[in-house]
Amino acid sequence: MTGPPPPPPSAAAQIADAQRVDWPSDWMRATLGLLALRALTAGPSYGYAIIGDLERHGFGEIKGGTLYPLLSRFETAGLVSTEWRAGDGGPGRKFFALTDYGRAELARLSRDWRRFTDLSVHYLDPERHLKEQPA
Amino acid sequence: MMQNTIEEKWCDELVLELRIQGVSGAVIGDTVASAHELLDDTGKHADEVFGSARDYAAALELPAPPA
Repeated sequence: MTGPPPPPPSAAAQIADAQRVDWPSDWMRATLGLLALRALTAGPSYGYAIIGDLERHGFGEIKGGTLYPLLSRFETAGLVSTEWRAGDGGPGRKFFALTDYGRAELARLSRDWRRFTDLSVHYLDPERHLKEQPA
Repeated sequence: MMQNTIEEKWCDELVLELRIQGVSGAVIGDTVASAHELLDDTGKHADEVFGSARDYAAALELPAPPA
């Protein structure tokens, strides 16, 4: 005995799903570097602002213990540069900026990531074997 | 500014771990100031934001001259 099919998810539910914050941690490990570089394309930014930007875009709350080691390694690798700027009456903030090398790497890795996700989406398509079977 | 003694203890542990690694004083100062900045911004506890001071110090992989 099967019940009626569930109603299609509402627009609000779809948006909430798009904003889910519990992505598998290994997915985040694989992509956070790329995402963090992308967060700097609009201009230099600092830890809390980068974390906020990623959260607003649906990636969940990234911990400082995850983000800063990544940025530290990027600095060592020459992908980002850092600079302390005075705050408005408060303590200063450490700003991270993309170097030319970082910008080039972001462009290269973004292209590769697009190819990889296109391949994955195609491979995962449940209808694929039907479409690919010779007539 | 952050004045909680729990956070100060965490920062002391961070400094100690980085000193053990042989990280330069300037880089240690930068790292601690950067941690203070995010703790002030988030208003959260250091353990919650960064994990243990020892793990955080290790994860940063800061340059240290060979001993």
